Amino acid sequence: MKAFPFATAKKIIFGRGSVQQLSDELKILCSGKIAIITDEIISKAGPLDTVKNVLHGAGLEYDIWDKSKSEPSIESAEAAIQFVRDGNYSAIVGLGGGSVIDTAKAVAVALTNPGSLSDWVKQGFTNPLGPLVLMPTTAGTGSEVSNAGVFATAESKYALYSPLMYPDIALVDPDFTRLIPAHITANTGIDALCHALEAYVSLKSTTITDALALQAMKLIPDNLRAAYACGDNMEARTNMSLAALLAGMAFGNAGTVIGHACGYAYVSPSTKFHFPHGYSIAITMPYVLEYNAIANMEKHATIAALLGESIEGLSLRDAAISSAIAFKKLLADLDFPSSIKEVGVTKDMLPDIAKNVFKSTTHVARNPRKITEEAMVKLFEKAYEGKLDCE
Amino acid sequence: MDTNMKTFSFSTARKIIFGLGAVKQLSEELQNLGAKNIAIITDTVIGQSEILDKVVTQLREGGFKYTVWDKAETEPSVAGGEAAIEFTRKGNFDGVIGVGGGSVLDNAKVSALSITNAGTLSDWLKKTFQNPPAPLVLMPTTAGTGSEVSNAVAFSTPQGKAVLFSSLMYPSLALVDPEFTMTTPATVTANAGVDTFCNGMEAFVSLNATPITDAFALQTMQLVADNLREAYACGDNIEARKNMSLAALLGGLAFGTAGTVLGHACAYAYSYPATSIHLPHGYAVAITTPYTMEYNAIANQTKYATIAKILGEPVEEMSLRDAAFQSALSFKKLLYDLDIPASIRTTGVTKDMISTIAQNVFQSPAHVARNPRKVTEKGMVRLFENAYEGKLDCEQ
Repeated sequence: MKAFPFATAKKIIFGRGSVQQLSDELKILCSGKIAIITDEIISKAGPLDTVKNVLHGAGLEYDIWDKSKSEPSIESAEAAIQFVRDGNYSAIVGLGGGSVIDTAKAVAVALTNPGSLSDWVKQGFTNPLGPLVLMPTTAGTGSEVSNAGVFATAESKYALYSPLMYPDIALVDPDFTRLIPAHITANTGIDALCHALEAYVSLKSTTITDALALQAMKLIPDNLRAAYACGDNMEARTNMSLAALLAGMAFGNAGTVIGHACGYAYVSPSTKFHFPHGYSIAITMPYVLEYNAIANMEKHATIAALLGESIEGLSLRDAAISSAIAFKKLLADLDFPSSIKEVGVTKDMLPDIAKNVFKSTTHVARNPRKITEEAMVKLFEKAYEGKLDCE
Repeated sequence: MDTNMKTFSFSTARKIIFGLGAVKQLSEELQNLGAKNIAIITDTVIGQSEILDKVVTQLREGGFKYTVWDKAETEPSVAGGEAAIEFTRKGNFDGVIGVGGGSVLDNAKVSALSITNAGTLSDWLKKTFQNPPAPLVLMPTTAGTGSEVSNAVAFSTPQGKAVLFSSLMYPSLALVDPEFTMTTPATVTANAGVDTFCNGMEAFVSLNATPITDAFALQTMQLVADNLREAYACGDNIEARKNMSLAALLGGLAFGTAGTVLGHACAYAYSYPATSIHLPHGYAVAITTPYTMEYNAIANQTKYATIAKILGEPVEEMSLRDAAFQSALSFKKLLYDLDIPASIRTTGVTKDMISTIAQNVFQSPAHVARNPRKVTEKGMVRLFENAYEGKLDCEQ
């Protein structure tokens, strides 16, 4: 075991109704006007009204910027930065899904650093962020406790990482997720599961991240099905919010592996795909699990057990491989397509997609099994047909 | 999980670095923190050891100014803390490193506070400080207290233990290098290791436990159950040492937020004027814990059955109630293997002290309030009588 670091948001506050603590926390962090970064959907929905009421009630001044885009581009984040630089803000509140949260992080960098997002992506930045509170409205990305932001360009996705980029406060109020439509509940929930299980098998996993990842994987299978089946089930919603948070703390330190690299691989100029983040990772994950299983059979057998497979009486090898089958059952229950051919991928794209996996060099380096281009072509062929070797 | 789960918060050290040889990252981390003139807080034992050489080498090679203060006491008094503060203020330091056991780390925390806050430790105990501490790096040399990731310090006063908590008191960096624990003597390994288990276990059953602290507490207990006997039997077993260091760190992550409960309140209860007994912290916790476990078991049978299972008991065949009680028996076996007596008679406690000690438990109201079972004076008298005889009720 090599020396390993662990870090997360400076403070995490979790629970239904915890939004009520926002004003007290902001008063400790800053003494001026606050910029709320959000998107148009949130700004027309309940969560923003709740946040406004809390700030009003405490006599705090704020402005709202609600033009964040899903899977944000560098240009869209630069627009948010311009908005904040034109005003005189002392703290940033990010309220939304992963895309909004990532934009809010870039904006908080701008409070204390010169330059533009494109500069920071290339060279990093030097000063700690301005005061930053992140409030997720989906149960998925865990971005509220990570030190990364992902921004898209026409060619690819760019990640901005920095040990300075942890927020002051991650404030997770599960009530914000109540009205999320079922298909987004499924996409974001499965994203949280992929975070947990990829962090768990990552070569950078540690005992600390394992503790968090295991707890997340215990919560997700039952609660995600229940939250998808009936969005009013606030117990299931609360547990999904918690699981996403725990998974975020885990992958924020252990990283994700080729599940994410494969998910990103669909997006390229040659394919012209723009899948939502959780979706593209999920539909490939059974094939990733089957590929990786032999590299760490014990951990994959544990994944199978946590996903509800009965592994007693199975050999360790069979138990490990059954993690792929268990994941496929979950996808079926959440009405995901069972093959990538159903979502418009054609056979001639497969070699390109397989090559694109290698663009995510850090994900590939952390993966428990070495990867080759040939192996990736085979993996995407199976995903295309929707059939695991072990079936 | 409980639908009515209350709101909870979680915080820890800004950054944690763990691993063999992690000390080599010290100079780079200090540079990131922007500290240039550093106070090193330690004690005379560490001050004369290779451990301090390793730390000082890092600072010298990194071109930092530093001064060593090696006068930290074990179980430090408020006066001892004030001495660390006086040293710090004279030296015009802009950063603090604590290298040592829990007592040293507590001194280092108040030293870092004194750079950025006016007043004395006695003042802060009455009315807390306002500003976050100066850059602070904590490097534990025992695998036990978890103080490197907590936001509390404990100092002894003539009346008992005074505890200072603050959400501002988390260090900038907890740097845990298990190599630093390689020379810890066997008895200290045992005391600190049992303390680690109890930090994890008490956080697990605390009424302030959350799913995050549970995750850490479970790992803590499992690591101690699997490694403490080996680290005690042979201190050169680096794998066991490393896992114990990791357990101590995880225990700190758990109890730093969930708090400890009756076990710690009972341990503090011995050191009051009426007894003039001064036991090492881990030891005081250890000898009373079988009896606090038996007392608490019915308040959360599921969690105590889990503890029994982690301690290696075959609980599958037992009723939930019996499995829960089995945890206390199992803990006693651990004490036996570590040559820690399971009776407080051996420490100089006499029968006539028991009623005072029982009353003293209530001097730790926060621990009592977090305890899963309501605490009564009668219950405590019975508990310490059992501890005196060294016999659990369930051992009939």
